[in-house]
Amino acid sequence: MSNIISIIQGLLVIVPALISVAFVTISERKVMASMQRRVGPNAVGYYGLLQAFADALKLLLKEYVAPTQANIILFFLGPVITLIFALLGYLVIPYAPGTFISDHRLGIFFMLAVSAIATYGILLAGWSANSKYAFLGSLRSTAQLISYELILSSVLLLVILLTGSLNVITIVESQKAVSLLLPLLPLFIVFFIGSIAETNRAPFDLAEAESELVSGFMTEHSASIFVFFFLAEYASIILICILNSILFFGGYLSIIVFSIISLLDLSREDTLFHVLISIISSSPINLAVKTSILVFVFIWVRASFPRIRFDQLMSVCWLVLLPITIAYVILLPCVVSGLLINPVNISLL
Amino acid sequence: MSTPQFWSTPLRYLRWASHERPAIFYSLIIGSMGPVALVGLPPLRRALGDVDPETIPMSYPIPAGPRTFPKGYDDE
Amino acid sequence: MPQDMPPQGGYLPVQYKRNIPARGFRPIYYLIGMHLIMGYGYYKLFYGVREQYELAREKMWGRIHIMPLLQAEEDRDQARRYFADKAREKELLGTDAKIYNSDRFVRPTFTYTPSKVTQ
Repeated sequence: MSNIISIIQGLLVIVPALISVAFVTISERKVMASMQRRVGPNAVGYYGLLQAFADALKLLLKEYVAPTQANIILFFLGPVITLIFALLGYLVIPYAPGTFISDHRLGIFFMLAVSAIATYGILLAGWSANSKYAFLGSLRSTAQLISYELILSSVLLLVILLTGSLNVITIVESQKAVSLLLPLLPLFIVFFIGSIAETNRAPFDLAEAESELVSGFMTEHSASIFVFFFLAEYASIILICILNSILFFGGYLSIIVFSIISLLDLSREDTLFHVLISIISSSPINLAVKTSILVFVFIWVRASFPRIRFDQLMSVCWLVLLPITIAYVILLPCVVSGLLINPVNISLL
Repeated sequence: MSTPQFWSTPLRYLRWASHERPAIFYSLIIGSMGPVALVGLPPLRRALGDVDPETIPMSYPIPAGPRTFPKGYDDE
Repeated sequence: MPQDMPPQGGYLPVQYKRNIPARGFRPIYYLIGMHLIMGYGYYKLFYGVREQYELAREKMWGRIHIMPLLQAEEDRDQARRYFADKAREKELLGTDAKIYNSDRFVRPTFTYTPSKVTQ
């Protein structure tokens, strides 16, 4: 019985995630179309809303072609690994107070580890296809992911420094005083750039630079395994947008209510009204709105910036973003201990 | 104009670095403000009227005064 | 019909001036502004963390004060169950059974709890 319940719980998170992936693809096409003065998809369904489902159906009905010289097992295992580990990250996300699948004590580490393992899927898929485009694409993609993961984890270190916990819920709840966006503003910018690079999005989509590498590591993948890669890519985009909004915008907490409380200094009067309004205002809609805005910015960035060269990509990571991050890794602990605001994690005492 | 050297013309080098290598230059400045903050912030904070918070107890408070430890019950 | 002739009144003046978007402030002002925002963030965070500190202190003191009471309650319950167990043993066996070859009190490892709560 408990097995069935946990399966249902998993489906309750994964099915909406996959449906939202479908709608993110359609919204990306629509938004980019309106930015480029086109119409975009508008034939399937009202306003083209069902275009993504039509595409998925087409891809699933297609015949899959595996290259003769490919290592078939790894060729099919790669997309599966990528998709599964992109979806596993959804397990530790708190959608509302008390609404989560796993309240893992090391939730942030779990997310980092899972997104790091997804790199292996790309590496395996690109290598096993036995095509030079796929191989170069996977090499580029792996180098990029590993480099930018360093930045993401360094920024996470500072978030952990200011919240005193690796638990995602504690990180969200400790932002009731102020969203971490304000004390970590430059690091949010660094983290956002890093998350664009981490999801292989334009302008950092060197792994699938069409003019050089056909389609990158997924050149040889077709039909349903291509769908796996596609789903994994967009699922990780939504996941990293959720992570951004959890770490820097206070997750499910209402920014409006809490900034009013913070501006009027109501937080130090622990009235019943204050407690009630903070409970009522915490809803998944807040998380959804913040995530949607960030996904829109992802699309906006894609429509605005030209793709950069691979050496530029690497030097942006190692010579620009990493020095900035390390500068703040030195500065902020000193500020925290100078102000004597080391956070306490009362839940662990 | 050649690239200025740090040891011969330090000021000109810093000026060049702030224009040509801004990320690393300002990172060094921001990072070197860390030890300054570590030394400078506590007096500033106390001057602005902040009092260090009392420590959080992790165990029962040990009573002040003479204590007698019972003997003869331990494994000798 | 005359073709390839200039329009009536001549061509419009050619616009030589380029409409380049404004560059905004100098970068150093963005750097300073960003750190001012950060400073405000730390001002707010300061009071937030201090309040968290106070809550944690209150919680720990609360636990320290209530722990002897809970421990006494637990001990009383254990003693009651121990004597009840003794009484049951005596009723079954007729004598005071000694489990250990020692007169020292040994805290029972397992506690018997009735399946039905009667009171």
